[in-house]
Amino acid sequence: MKVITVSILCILHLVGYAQQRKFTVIEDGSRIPLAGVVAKGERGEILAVSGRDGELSFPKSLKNNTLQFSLIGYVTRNVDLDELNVGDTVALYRDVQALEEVVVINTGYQELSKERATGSFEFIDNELFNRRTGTDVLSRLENTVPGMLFDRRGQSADQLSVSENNIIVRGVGTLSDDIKSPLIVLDNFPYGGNIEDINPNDIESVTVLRDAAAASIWGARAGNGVIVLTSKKGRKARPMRVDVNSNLRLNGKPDLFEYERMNVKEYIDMERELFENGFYNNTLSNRTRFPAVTPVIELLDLNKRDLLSQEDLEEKLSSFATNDFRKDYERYFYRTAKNYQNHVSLRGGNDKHQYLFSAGADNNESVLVGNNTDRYSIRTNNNYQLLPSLKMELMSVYTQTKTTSNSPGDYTVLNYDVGKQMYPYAVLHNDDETMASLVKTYRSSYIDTVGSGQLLDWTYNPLRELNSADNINEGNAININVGINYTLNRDLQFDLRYQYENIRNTASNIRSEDMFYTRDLINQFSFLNDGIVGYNLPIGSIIDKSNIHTKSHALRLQANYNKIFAHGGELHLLAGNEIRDAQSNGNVFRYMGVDKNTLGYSSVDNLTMFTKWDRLGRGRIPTFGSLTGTTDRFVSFYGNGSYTFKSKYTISGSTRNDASNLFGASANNKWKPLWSLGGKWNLAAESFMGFSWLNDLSLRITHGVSGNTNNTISAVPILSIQNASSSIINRPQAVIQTPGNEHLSWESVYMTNIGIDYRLFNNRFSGTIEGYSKISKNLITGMEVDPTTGMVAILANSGEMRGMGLDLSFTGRISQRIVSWESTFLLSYNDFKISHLNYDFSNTRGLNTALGNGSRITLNNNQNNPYGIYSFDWRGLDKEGNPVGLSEGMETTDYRSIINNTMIGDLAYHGSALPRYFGAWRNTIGWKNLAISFSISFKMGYYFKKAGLSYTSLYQNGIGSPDYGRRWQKEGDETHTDIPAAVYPADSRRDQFFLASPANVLRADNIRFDDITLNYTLDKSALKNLPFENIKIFAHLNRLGVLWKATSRDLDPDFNVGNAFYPPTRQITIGVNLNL
Amino acid sequence: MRILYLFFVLFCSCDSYLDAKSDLTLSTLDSKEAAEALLDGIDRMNKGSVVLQNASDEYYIRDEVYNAISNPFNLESYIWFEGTQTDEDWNSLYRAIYTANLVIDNLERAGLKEGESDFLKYRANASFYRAHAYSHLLQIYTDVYDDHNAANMSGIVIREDSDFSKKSFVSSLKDSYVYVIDDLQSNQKYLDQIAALKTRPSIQSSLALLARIYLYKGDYQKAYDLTTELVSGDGSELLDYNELDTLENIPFEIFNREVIFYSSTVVANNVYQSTASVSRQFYESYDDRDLRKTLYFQMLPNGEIGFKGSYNGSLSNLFNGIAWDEVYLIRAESAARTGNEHEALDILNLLKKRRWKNECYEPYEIANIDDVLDAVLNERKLQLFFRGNRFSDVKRYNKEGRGIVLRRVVNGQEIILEPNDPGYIWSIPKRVKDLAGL
Repeated sequence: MKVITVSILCILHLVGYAQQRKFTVIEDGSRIPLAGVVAKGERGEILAVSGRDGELSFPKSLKNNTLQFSLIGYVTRNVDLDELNVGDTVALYRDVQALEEVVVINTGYQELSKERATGSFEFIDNELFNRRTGTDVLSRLENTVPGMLFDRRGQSADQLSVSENNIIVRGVGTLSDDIKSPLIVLDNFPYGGNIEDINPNDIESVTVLRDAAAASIWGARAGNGVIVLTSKKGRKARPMRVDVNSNLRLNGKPDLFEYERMNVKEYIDMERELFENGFYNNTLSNRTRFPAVTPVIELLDLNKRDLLSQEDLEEKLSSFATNDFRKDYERYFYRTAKNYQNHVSLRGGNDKHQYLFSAGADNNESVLVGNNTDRYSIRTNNNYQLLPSLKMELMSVYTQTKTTSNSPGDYTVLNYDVGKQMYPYAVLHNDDETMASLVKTYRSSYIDTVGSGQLLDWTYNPLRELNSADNINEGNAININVGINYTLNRDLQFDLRYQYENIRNTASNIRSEDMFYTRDLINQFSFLNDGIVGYNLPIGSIIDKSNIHTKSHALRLQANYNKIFAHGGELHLLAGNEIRDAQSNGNVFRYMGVDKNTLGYSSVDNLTMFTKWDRLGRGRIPTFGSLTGTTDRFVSFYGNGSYTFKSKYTISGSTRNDASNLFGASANNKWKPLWSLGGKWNLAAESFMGFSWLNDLSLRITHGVSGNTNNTISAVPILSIQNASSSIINRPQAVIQTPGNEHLSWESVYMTNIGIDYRLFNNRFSGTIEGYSKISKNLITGMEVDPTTGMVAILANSGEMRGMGLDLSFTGRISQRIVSWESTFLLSYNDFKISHLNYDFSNTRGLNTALGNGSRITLNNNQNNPYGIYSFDWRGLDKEGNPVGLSEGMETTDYRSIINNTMIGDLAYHGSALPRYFGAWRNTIGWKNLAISFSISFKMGYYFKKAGLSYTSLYQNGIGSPDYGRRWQKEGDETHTDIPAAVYPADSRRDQFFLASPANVLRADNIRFDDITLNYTLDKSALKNLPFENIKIFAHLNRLGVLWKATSRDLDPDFNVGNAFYPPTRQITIGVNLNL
Repeated sequence: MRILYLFFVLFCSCDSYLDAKSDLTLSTLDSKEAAEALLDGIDRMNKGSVVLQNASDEYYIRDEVYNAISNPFNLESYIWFEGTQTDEDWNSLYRAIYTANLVIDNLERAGLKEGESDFLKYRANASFYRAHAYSHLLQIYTDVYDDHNAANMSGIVIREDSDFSKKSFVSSLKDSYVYVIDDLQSNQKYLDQIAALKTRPSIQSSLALLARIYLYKGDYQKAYDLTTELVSGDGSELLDYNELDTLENIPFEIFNREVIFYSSTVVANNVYQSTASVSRQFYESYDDRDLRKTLYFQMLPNGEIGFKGSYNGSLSNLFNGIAWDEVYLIRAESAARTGNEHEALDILNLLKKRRWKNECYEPYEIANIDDVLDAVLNERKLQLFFRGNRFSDVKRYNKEGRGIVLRRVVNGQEIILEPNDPGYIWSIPKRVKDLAGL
């Protein structure tokens, strides 16, 4: 119908004009000329239709007072003719309610209108994509796609960007942690680089492929969903347009005091008690390594040896108790990070040639002083119509990144010896403002006397480390993408695409003699020869250099057949094959004794076992280096087709076959083709559904199978060859990395999806309801075998998982000329479990499973989620403050027996560590030129573990817990605390039992105030003397806080596996968008 | 030009395109070099039992250290806990056996032709590692060999090849010994006379290992005959401890002249110097003129005696391989036990000359010795200190009625291992039994 109307209008337009009064119709905001705008008179008669340049002409004789301008997708506008002067522009507002009509999904192999799509596609347009700000692409998708879970538990609380590893689409479909990420596709090819290299300002739209019908075209790597990124392109018939985007984001300084900690006084008192119990006797008497002890222990030792009076000791200790290392650390090592983002793009074109050029610069600081990331990118996109039947697309991106990592790290990373967390009363400066010496690796009393001034300074101060570190990683990536499209006839087209990627990363870590690492190593390998110090490791910097260079080629040939039949059917077929080849080479090398001024370096004897300085043992000077090389090759064949009848019924199918060099020939033979089938019924188009309020109602059903590529498996034993330098005999050593298993086959993910799309009441309400089931078969897991075979475990196809879920989205819109309101609610439910394992290990000891925090896959035979949280049965504390457990049905504090007798099958399962319900509620309110949008998100139905108090790790590693203050201290405490009493010596089994007890399991459910964005747009039509077409000023406030959480503890379950040292930092971005 | 190649593959689809090796640092067992690199994996191939050292009475652990031990293996092996489920030794020794079997099974894939000298040499090398691991398993998991009853006593699991789908079963003690001895003997002649590296097998190490096995088997004549093939007889293979610096923290170098085949404990958390205190009784049994008293031990600041005399060149893992001192002592013991007391004493003197301070050396005279065998066994105890032999030695001495009782005191509680207690034989871990269906 539409087509006919437009044609008639065009004819009218052609015959009926007399060039007297001319206006131009443009899109509000972008000022793009609009073609096909219909102008009607007061009686509804068509007077004119705009041409390609947006121009409308009326006979001068026109007497109408009011003209009505209308175009599909835009709000109809009435204009009084008398108000218009010749040559004026008329701006039409985009009608948000009608946007769906123009949605074109990109699967990476084809562009497809949503009307024909049977699969589960989720399309994120440019506006929604840019609702959030940030350096990276993927974090902008958070809370926009039902079924897509952002799992930030592995991240620290100040981190903003996410990689594909943090994303779970519709639950996990594998039992291998490393391959659970979705596939990322950028401009038709799987993206091989670092996701953070992509500038989000270059992205036009994103399509998420969630079910088998959508994703199976990507075959063996699509089992976990696919995220297709489409970058911006030039536009036809548009004058050149310049977009400038500039913003500043501030990321708040972490607050180390927000969460409760074990306090300093408690720590010192504990050290005293341990000292009196003789805990440090061994360390203090160690004369082979002189291991570090904290200043308190050093003082107590002096006091014990009568070298320090009791009064002096008490005075010093009480002054220590007033220190708090967090103060210094927060002051010198953290900051409010400033991130600058600038981007400019030029685009335009005509019928023959469309172009885009863009350049971006991102300068990001981390909240850790000394850590920065800069990214510069340049991108071009050109489309040429070479011949009427021949099109060519040329795309290129150059990205350069520089990452500086000079910070010693987060507060909790700092240690004074291997595995011993820095004491909380450390200070960075002495009273006279000079740099203090912190204890590191060796006892301070040893450092003070050793070498009597002949050696390099052996003291440590993290601030000095920060100032002298020079650790830089630079990368550059080139991506060239060429596409040729040849139209043979009306129905048949051929596409040839080629992509070349060249990614280079160079890291350089220069550790000068100012760094402790270098001084320490030089000192260790110094020797005394006739009273003169000699150096086996020459004085100078230690420089580690590494390079990784990846080159990849991909080539694809595809035929597309599209035919519209006279009987009302539409057939779309495509078939193609594709080949990929990625080669990567790397090397790591160390230079020692480098003079930074002349870059001269020394050769070093890495073979001789030297006697180290002053009784510190013997050893070789450590080497550091490696050579690596990998080649990944894929060959794939695929096909896809759909048939639509009378715009009502669609059926679709796809198939794909992959082969790769990763697995060896025998494995390729076992590869079953992946396929999908789907159907769609557009109910609203049926005559019996002719309700005026029903704009759209369609039902979709699909079923299909996609795969997971696990490249750690092999049919033959795989050896990993280790460097000769790592062996005491200086010969290469081989380790059996994977025992071969010739019975292996590939993981397959079967998915069924049922979806309903609806739009009601003149598009005021719209949404989608989808339900799915996901069955993953032949999952590869480690399987315990008889250790007598020489293997403790082998990999085998031994698991099956079942998942199901529901994805709901609902949008309501009210739009008037001045005020508009749009509200979107997303809800996802997802539940998955291990439904079958080929072996039973419910009789394996349950300790490790119960200690797990749900961050890695835990196998079980009990139909539980693989990311489950488990615990031992426990009966609280007894009258002595000991945790009571159960062994063989009896209450006991015999922890050895509890641990030995509690099997995996006996553990209590609390639930999943991944939310089972999650979603978001987003509201956007527009008033004139002002828009405000806020989002609230929630995650429900999951659990986490607080880092429990372990006296073993407290005593040995100095890892304190806020629970220390809540511990059982006197009889009766057991009624109100579940934190066991302190005991000496620590009983590691008692600690393990407590850590594995339900006392540390907490509910993770929470609701967050995600963000608010505010923007104000001004354009030329409103403000005539504006020097540019339009300007948008915006502010984005991110991570505004937790509105509600199930646990009363000061913990955020979604960062650092629920045990972040500080609450999530807040961000504010302010920026401006200009169109010239 | 790669794009042309890709076009070629895209349209012609050749199989060799997918045969490219995906990771250059990975390899399959398809070359001599790969086989050699596997056998040179000293962290797996040159490892001996740690449980035998942990269980020894040569040391004790102070309560405060004992209470801080979290690894059940270290705790349980220290107190000879019967129900121990620890399988560290089992796993690591059978892993070495698997690796050796894998090499043997893949020699042809690695490009070696059956019957050719390289083929025989690689097979012999791999067999030696396998036999070495079996010899440790025999000491840990079986009773002292009894000629009359060996066919009915349980031995160890013999894995003849690398196919892990084959079921494990326990062979009789007799069959186990026969297998290991045959394996060593039949491959011996293909080994190098002297290995280029002390971590690799040689005819010397094969003979020495065989002598050690015969000694534990109680076949003293065979043990004696084997050492005849080995030793020069003048003690020139031995280090002269007078040339070493007693003040050194680590007086002995790794791969020193006395070492024939290098092997060390897998992990030795219990017997690190900072953990293990040497029994004073042991320490005092060294004469003050004996250099070993200062080369093996040092006084620690906490008043304990620490061991520093490992042939490992470090204080971390302990040497438990085969050295010339042990070969001489095997010869002395088998000589004494086969009625050749004079020769036994001569050997002790060869050793004593190189162990005592030069100026204090005076040879043992047969007239002054009550029992030559006792003297030899005492010397064995002193010389092979912390080499992982003591526990097995006590086990076999007690079979002949020497009545040595092992004691531990843990948190005030005394734990006793009576002579011929079943606790001398470590039971196969339950987990292994379950998984293997033993």
